[in-house]
Amino acid sequence: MFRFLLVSFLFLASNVWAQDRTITGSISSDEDGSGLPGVNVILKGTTVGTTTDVNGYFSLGVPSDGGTLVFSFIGLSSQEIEIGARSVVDVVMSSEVEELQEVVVTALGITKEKAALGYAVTSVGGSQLEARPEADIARLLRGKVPGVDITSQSGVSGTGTNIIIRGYTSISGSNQPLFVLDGVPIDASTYSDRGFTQGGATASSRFLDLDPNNVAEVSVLKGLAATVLYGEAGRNGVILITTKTGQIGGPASNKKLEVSFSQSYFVNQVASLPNDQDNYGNGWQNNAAAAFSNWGAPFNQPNRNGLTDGTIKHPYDRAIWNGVFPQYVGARWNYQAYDNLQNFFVDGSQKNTSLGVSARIGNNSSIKANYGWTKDDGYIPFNEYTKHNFSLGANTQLANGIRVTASFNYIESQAIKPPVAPSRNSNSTQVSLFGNVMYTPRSWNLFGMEYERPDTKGSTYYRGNNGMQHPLWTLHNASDRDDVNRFIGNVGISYEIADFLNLSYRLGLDRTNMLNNYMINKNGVQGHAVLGRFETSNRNNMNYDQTVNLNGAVELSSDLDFDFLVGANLKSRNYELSQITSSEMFIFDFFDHSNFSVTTANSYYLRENTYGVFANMGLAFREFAFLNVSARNDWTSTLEKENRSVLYPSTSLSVLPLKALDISNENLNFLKVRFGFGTSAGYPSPYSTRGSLATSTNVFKTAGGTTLNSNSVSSFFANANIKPEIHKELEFGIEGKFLKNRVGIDITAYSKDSEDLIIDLELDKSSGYSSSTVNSASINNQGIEAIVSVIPVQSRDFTWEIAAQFSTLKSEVISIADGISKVYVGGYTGRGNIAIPGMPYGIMEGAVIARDYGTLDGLDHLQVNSDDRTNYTPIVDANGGYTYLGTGLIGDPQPDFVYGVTNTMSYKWVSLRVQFDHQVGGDMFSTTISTMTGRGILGNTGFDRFVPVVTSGVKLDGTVHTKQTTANQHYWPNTGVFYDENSVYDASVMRLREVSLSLVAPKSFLNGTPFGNASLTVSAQNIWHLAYNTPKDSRFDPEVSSYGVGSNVRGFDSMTGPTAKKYGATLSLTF
Amino acid sequence: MKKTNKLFLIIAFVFAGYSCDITDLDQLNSPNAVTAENADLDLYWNAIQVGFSGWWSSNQTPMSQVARIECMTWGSTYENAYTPSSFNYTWNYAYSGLVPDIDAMISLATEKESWIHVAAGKTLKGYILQMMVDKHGDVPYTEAWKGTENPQPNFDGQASVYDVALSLYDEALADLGKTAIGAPGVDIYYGSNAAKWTTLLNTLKFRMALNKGDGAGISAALAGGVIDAMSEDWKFQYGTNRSNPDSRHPWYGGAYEAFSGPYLSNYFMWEMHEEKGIIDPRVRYLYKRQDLDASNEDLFTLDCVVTGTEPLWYRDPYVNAYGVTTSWPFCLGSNMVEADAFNAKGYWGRDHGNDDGTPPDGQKRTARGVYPGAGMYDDGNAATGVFGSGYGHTQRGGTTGGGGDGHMPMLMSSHVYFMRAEAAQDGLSSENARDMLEAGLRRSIEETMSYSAGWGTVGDLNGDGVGGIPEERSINNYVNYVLNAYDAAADSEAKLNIIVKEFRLASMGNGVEPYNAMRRTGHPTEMQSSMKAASAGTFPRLFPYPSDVTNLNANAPVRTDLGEKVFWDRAGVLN
Repeated sequence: MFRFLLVSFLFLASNVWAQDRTITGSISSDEDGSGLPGVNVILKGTTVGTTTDVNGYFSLGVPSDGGTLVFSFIGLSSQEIEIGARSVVDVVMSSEVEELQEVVVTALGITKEKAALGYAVTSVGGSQLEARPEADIARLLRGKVPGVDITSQSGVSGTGTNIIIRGYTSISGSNQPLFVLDGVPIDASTYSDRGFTQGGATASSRFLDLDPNNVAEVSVLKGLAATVLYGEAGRNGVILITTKTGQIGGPASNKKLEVSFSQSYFVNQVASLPNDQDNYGNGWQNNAAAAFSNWGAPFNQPNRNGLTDGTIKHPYDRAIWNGVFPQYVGARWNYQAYDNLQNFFVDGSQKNTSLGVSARIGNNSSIKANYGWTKDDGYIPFNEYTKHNFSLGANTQLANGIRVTASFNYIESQAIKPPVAPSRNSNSTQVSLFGNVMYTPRSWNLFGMEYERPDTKGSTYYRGNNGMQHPLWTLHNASDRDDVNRFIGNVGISYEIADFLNLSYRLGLDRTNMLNNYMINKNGVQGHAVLGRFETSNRNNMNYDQTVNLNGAVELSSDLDFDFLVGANLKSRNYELSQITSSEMFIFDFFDHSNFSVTTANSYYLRENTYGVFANMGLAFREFAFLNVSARNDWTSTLEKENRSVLYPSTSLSVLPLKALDISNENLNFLKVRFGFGTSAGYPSPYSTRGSLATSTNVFKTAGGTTLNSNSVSSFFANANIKPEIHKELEFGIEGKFLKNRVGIDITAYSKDSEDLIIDLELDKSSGYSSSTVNSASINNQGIEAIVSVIPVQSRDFTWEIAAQFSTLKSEVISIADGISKVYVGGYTGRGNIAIPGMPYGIMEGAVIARDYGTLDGLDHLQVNSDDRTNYTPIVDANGGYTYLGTGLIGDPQPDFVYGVTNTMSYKWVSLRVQFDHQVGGDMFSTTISTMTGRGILGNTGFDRFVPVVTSGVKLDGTVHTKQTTANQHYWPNTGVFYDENSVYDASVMRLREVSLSLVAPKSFLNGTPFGNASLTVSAQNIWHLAYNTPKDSRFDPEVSSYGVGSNVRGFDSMTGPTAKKYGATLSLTF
Repeated sequence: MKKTNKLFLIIAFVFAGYSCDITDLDQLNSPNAVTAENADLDLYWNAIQVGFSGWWSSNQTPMSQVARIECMTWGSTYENAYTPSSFNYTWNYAYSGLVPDIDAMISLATEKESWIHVAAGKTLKGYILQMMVDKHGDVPYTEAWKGTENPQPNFDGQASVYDVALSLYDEALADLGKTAIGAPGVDIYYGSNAAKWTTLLNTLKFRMALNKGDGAGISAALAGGVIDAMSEDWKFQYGTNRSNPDSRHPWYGGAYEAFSGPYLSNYFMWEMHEEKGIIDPRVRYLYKRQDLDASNEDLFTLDCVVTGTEPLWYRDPYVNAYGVTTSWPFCLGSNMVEADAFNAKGYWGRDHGNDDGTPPDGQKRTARGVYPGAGMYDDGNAATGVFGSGYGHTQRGGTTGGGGDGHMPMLMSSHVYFMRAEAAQDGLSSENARDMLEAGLRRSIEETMSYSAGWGTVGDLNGDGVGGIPEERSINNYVNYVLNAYDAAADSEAKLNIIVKEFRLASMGNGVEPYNAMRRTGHPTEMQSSMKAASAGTFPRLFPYPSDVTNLNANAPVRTDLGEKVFWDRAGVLN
């Protein structure tokens, strides 16, 4: 307004020029196309000028020879435009790239000028998250924030997602970040009723409850200098989410009433399927047979190798089935290639509806409401995820200086998923949908073979002993369902004591009720399906979070500003679980616990309270040097009194050298150097410090019918002396903007030391105990994160922006415990992730084969690096099969580096956004690839199998192996089916993460309609990927984690479902 | 301003005055478990007696395999088959499960003067310590069971741990002699009968003395009275409850639910079925054929149906323990080199060291029979191809046969007779070896046949197509064959060879005693070697230390040589 008056004044005071003609035009914003009022329009080199009216129109008299118009407005990039012969000049103005005044949300919801921060914070705007084909907000962050590693269990709808920020720091504890929704920490755990070996890997993470369409902004606090005010809970980083309804102010806040609506429809498909070979069918040694493997007869020799006229005996023409399937007595089966995988996966769909209302009531109050509905039908039948999100936010400023804010979210969701359990190379021991699907032999038609017996509804399949479950039987008779009801709300009151002092209180509540039903019908042949199983659980989790803050700011002198905050926090968690497990089903397909002969029940209760007090102090010197000092002290209920208290300090410094030295150059726009140091702690899980008696009921029923109960000495040695684990992090960063703000960089380097790590230390059982909890291990994580942005083209109608992010991380386990060489981090013992001193965290261990290592010990990582194994010749047995050496390191799942490049091109009202990600390095153990190879399915096994092969290797006596074997005999044991080492692949992968094309209706187009804004976005997620170091025909996507998420496992794929791709369109309207 | 003061007063109240549930930092005792003060004596004993049987069974499995009673399928060589990680469970459960419970029970029972609890605890602890020594050699004792105070205990010498076990046996005997004796509510082994526990302890002392070759100890123990009646057999009796808890013999659940049990040993089936030319009266009890004729299989399920695929070393004729020249069976419990596949009559297992993958033969390969897992009695008729009970396979959801109420034969009177025969033959006692051998044979057959009730009626035992339980003459034929061979044997070693061979044949379900006998005597001298390799490598005179121990305890020795012997091992070459 001031500018407006000033310009008007200047205009009035200037000489009156000869106005030969009048130029008119409109100035609009590139953000939403709305007219911009108050923009200065000046004829260059003169004092002739005007400002735009409330609708963004201007009119100005100029000389006939034209000249150049200069358009300027605070916060927007100035533009100079030659008038030429035109009489109309329309201008679209965009925000200045140099956003010195950019504010970001930091810990406890405090907004700070980004320039003043001594640590890295990455923000992702809501526009990058909404209208996307993904119901899981975490998966939408993939590739958008450097230093954040996001993996998912699979592409099955409603499965879990794992987020790791700046590497794993804890061995036994959780490494998942803290989620803070509208200022209140919420529960983001992954709850599973059963371990991954039992099919628990599909459990979803509870941040899945959030609605991406109602997110205004996500800020990721990565380093400990940034998260210290959250105390222990913030040690793994903090993801701050501001919802549209919980946001005070925001784009529509100055409007009286705005209604927004969006509707999306996306197609959900399996991202990729392997290419299979079409030359051979089910069998062994080139003969047709009902085997697991596909090393059978060639399709082009119909009367040999066990075939007669290209047929074999119908699989259901068996003595034991003859009474059940009389129609198949004497029947033949056409032995040919059938498309099974291709038909097993279907086109799912995801539909989102979002309706929002925002209203200003009077001058001082506003209210916002949002409803979101998501229905995500997966790429297999019966898999669906449905979610309703109701959100309400309100704030009011009372006359007496009190401000009240409130935000409420109610979520109701249901996920129905197939049970999956890791499957190595044949039947999974537990019910698992994908295990038997992925390697379905080519000559069986899944869809042309009854999956159930007409009499018992039991599973039938081609295998002679019926020991393999028909995948369609599994699909129709087993499911895993989660029902979630959740309320997340907060109420805040703040009072301005003086204009430099503010007192506030906030109560947050997060209550989750989760029901799980695991339902398996009887009469299957695999694990629980034999007798039938019904497991139900009911969880109630209640988190209270209360915070009191006193904050203020004073100007100490003209050069020195001071701000401070002191506060206290009380966090309480109450968690209850009850489970009922029933087996031995009576009536088929009736899931009621009373319909099962055997029922057991158990319950679990947990309570955890934490007190915290914190203080933060900031000093700003002449707007170019900023010092920040924070500290928090926590007291936890999980440790004995003497170890309960822990203090974590942090400090950070930000210096703007250009400003300090008063350098002003159009190619050197901004420079910041920052330094931060932060600490945090970690607590053990509750009840680790006190021992107990192990009791069991029903341990045995004697031949005489007496039921025995028992009690035992606990094999867990409770350690009363556990202390909190300590994390310390140093961070250094440089930010700069160059070449008229067209090029920007933001580089961060950090080193994080985690010490006294609490580990569940497995003991030599000769000590009388199997494990104890001790403070022992230490880990170092070092990494570099960079963001580079370039704007190669910026013109009135066309802008091309490239934003790239890069991160690399190196972790090292410094020590474990005295005399202990390794601890298990996750997965199976002997096939999982471990920690070994001197090696990266979570390195993978598995069965390795004997090779000609000479005098070296192939199992000692100090002598042979897992990457170098292939340089040594395998030792093979008399039949050309690799031989077992022992358990050793097989790979490192941590990528060498990852980067992503997002190109955004906007032309007038059309913009195209393409996000490309690339992971370089990192190993993956994949039984999908190895099994499909070893079982002769994959395209590259379609060669002439009648040609003998010689396994390259040396014999036990050291001489070269020269004996010929069949292809079957070589591939079966040597491609990973037998030994883990042979199932490890480089997981480097390139991916088109996201492609979206947005059409935003210009304002002029909407004139006369009730719509304020209208846009159509066509977008796609994960539509292309290439894991270029895996076998080509596998078309494998390594972005899966078969051992589940929320654990510390990485790099294992055991056929628990491929990834998904989604594409479709969203229509958004505002009224 | 007044209003705001009130507001903050309310807030302060909410913050501080909330129910203590959400503010109390004293949340250290788990609400989900009870503390050790609540422990009950009988509940300790239940954990011990039930846990012990499963532990014992896991110990005997590899021993049965190297004794060729069961089939070694985990690897083609001993080194591959018996990796350190395969011994974790038995070691770990002994040290962190059974012994801590036994010690806690002994301490509580001593306080309450419940002496059968104390004696049973000491008996089992002694047996466990002896088992650990017999299996691994030096083991931790003095520095064990100290928690994080000594997480990496040093190992004690094997002979000294044997002495500890012996003193536990003696203490237990003394405890059993005490008056005002208290007893467990349920004692599955001996029904809280002090006399039977005493007999067991004498037998354990006899067994220990025999291992050490201690003639005086043997005589003393025999004088005390060892297990010689079936009522004194030390066994764990299972029930028939199918689930919650599954209280059936583990072999039953393994083969009679929906899955197939392990491959059984072709060599052992051949020994019973063919080697003597007389069918062993026990064979129909031990094995249940699921396929009466294995000759119509193809390469995929049974690759040996193609003749001439046997290893070359299988073809070498040799003279067996009974002085007959024969050659090894291949691929089935029948000699495919000498006879045709039909003679196999479906005794379909695996050869020693055959570690091939699993073809779809779960309903075809021979399953465990009625003894001792209480499965089905084999009453199939190979001549007519008719399964007498109408069942072609065993996977019927746990509804068939004996229902699983079998037993773990930990130390049976038959075993003790064979040990006494061995001791006498070895000059360690003055008993008559031949008498003891005959008693062992007849007892073993009697005991096996005790499982016939209700099932053993129609079996085709003589191969003549006519079924029936073994007749007295069949049993006599068998016993006489062995005794004639014994009498005809050239020397004491040859006689000992027959004793230990028959000891093995009487030890289905118990690999512990034959494995010890082999290491004491070096017999039997003829055993089938690995199918996949001309030599299966060094015979494990002691098994490797578990990987958990070597990984977690810097003071643990590493066993690189399977040929290292236990201190009492006096046998020559074993293969």
